[in-house]
Amino acid sequence: MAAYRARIKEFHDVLNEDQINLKRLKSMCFNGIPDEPGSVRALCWKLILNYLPLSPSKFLSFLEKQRKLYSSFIQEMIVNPGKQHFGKSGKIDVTFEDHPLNPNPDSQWVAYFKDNDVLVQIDKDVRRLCPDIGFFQRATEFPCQDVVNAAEMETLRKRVDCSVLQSHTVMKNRQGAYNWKSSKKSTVEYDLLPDGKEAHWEVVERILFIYAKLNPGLAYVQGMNEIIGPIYYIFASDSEREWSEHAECDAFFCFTNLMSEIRDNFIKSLDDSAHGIGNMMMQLMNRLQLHDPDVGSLMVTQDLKPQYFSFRWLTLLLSQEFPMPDVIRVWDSLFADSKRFDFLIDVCLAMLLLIRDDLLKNDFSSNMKLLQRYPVFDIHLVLSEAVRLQKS
Amino acid sequence: MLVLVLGDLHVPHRCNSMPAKFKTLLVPGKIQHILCTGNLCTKESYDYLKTLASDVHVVRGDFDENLNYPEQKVVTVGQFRIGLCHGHQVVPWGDTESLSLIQRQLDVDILISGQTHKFEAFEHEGKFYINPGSATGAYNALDSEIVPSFVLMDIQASTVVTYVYQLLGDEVKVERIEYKK
Amino acid sequence: MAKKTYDLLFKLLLIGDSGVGKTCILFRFSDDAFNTTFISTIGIDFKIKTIELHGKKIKLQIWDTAGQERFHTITTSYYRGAMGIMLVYDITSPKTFDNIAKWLRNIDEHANEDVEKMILGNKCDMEEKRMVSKERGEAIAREHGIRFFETSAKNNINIERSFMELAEAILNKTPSRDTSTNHTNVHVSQSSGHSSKCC
Repeated sequence: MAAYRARIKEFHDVLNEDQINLKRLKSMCFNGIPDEPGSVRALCWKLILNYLPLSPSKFLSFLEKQRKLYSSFIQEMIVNPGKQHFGKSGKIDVTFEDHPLNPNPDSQWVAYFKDNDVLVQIDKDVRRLCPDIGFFQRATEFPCQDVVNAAEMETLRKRVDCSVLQSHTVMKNRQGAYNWKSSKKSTVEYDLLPDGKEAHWEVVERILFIYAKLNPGLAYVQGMNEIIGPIYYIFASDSEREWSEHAECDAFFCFTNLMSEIRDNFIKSLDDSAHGIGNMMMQLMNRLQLHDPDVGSLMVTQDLKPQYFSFRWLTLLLSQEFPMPDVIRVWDSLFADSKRFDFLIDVCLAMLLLIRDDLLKNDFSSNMKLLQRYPVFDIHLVLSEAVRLQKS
Repeated sequence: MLVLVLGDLHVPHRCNSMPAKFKTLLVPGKIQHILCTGNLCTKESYDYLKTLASDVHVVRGDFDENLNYPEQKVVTVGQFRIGLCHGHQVVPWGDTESLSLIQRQLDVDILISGQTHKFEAFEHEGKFYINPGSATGAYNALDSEIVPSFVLMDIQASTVVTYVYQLLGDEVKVERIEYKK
Repeated sequence: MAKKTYDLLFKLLLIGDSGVGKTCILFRFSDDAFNTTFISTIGIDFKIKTIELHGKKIKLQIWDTAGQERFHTITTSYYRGAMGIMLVYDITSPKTFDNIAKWLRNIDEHANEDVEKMILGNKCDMEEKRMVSKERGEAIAREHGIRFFETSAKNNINIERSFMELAEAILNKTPSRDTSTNHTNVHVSQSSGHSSKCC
């Protein structure tokens, strides 16, 4: 307990200096950030992901600027067509202006429907984000006021909602009395919150949508949801309101910074480039061959191709392989890695070596199952093995 | 949320199909719901609507083959209760007072009806009334010069923006009318 | 070496747009359960199920692929070894149906020529949201000479049946080690192909 308190104090000391020593902070984070109830982890991630400036005295003005910027992204990127005559009464001829079925490529409505194509994909994925924890289905305390309170703006999920409207049929019987019959309750796959509230997954949906709009070359690729998920979760669970209130904006910028380093993993045409995922998988296999030739050659003889398992491990920074608390612990180290993301390959290699005995014993099918549903381990065992491999 | 409102197609008895100009405008992927005032009259017309949106609500007109459509229907879209009925039961046809009686019986904010083949959209005692006209321009008992029309409602929070599409000669004219609850 | 617990091994592949329910179909077949809260499949997933058909134990090795375009380079490498491919669309989403042509081209490009194909229109429990009629599904299947089923992973409709039929079609093609000659095999596969198309 004393050691734990000392560790927390050490973090506080480093974080409270006029000029934060990033190198020192990274080396401390690498060994794990304490799970104390305050904001230490969220703050550390914001620093080691190169979001916050290193002098705390500059935080306030910097954050103010970023939050304004993000709010302007929401205003600009979320196209909201048909508002030029808002509030006007009477009949207005809009034949030569804009209307929902306008086929003109300059039409705001055309842009709106095009955005919806991206949104449909994001929507499918964020609704099924981290189902093992209830967090993303719960309402956020801080819904985006620009969106939920604006009479003329609809939330993103409603734009692509294709549910069945609630309806009653009305039959008049012979006596002229009315019979009301409710339509059979339609299949609701997900519980929705009432208007004015937003679930955390809706916030994540907006972050990914803004990112896709700002990065049209990449747009949205499945798996990005698994990257933003834990980051947003940490920021939104910050116990200090002045931080958690802005989790959306801060997570957006940290995600953007992180993506700038790993975006090649999400681009098909770069699969075989020097930084692409193909190369990373090859590195992993080469190192496996070096450290454990038996397992290395087993992979070849059983045709256990790295894309069968390590594609997902590497692309998602292992976020689908472990329960959330373990993912977070692994990410402390990954983000703090001075040569991001070399340590990721070390962790993957450690994962393989820790199950080597089983791998060597099993047939192809059992090995595939093992690799695709990695067994529960003490995460610290995986990490200390990875550190050993990093040094060797 | 975009809701398409149309009816009185009378295909194939009085018209072969919707005007080509309308068909090119109405493509899948834009409209989320359809409210139909009836007189489709065949299954083919219904199937066509189903290709535009999966959620289609129909009430029975006096020429509909399908007798299972209800006479009246109330659907809820966000804050709005919307009543739907074909209107051949309303005497005199399209009469404001008779329609407002139905509006009160159904307790709705917006009442949509057809039958007259003539587009209407107006506010009466704080409630909104829409008649989308005939999407094919089919003739009716009183008139053979019918302007084909349909309506698109953009419903957001407490506001409904109604877009009326009318085929005048060879040109589609679009007008917008706003209703606030 | 462990003793072989099966007579034959069939490799199957599930493809189709993202969100059509590939993972749910597979989960229903392998675990006889339904779960709406599946995370999206990244890259490829894998399940095994052993079935018995005409007295033979057949081990099905089923690969479940990610639907999004980005993963095609990763997933097309599995086409080659596949003996059966299930192409899934969602009856409530016309876009996923329109993309069938694209997926069929992918099969032509990457899979073995004699691969057994099957088209599944999934989510047929959601009748009120249907936008692709059964007739359209049947028509495209007929046009390409492929078996077709409408399925529901949720209500367990036609899931088992479609896997069994696909396995049977592959079995009929598989040269048997005992008595039957090539000639009868060809005959059997033709007739079974014909009869199942009208389901």
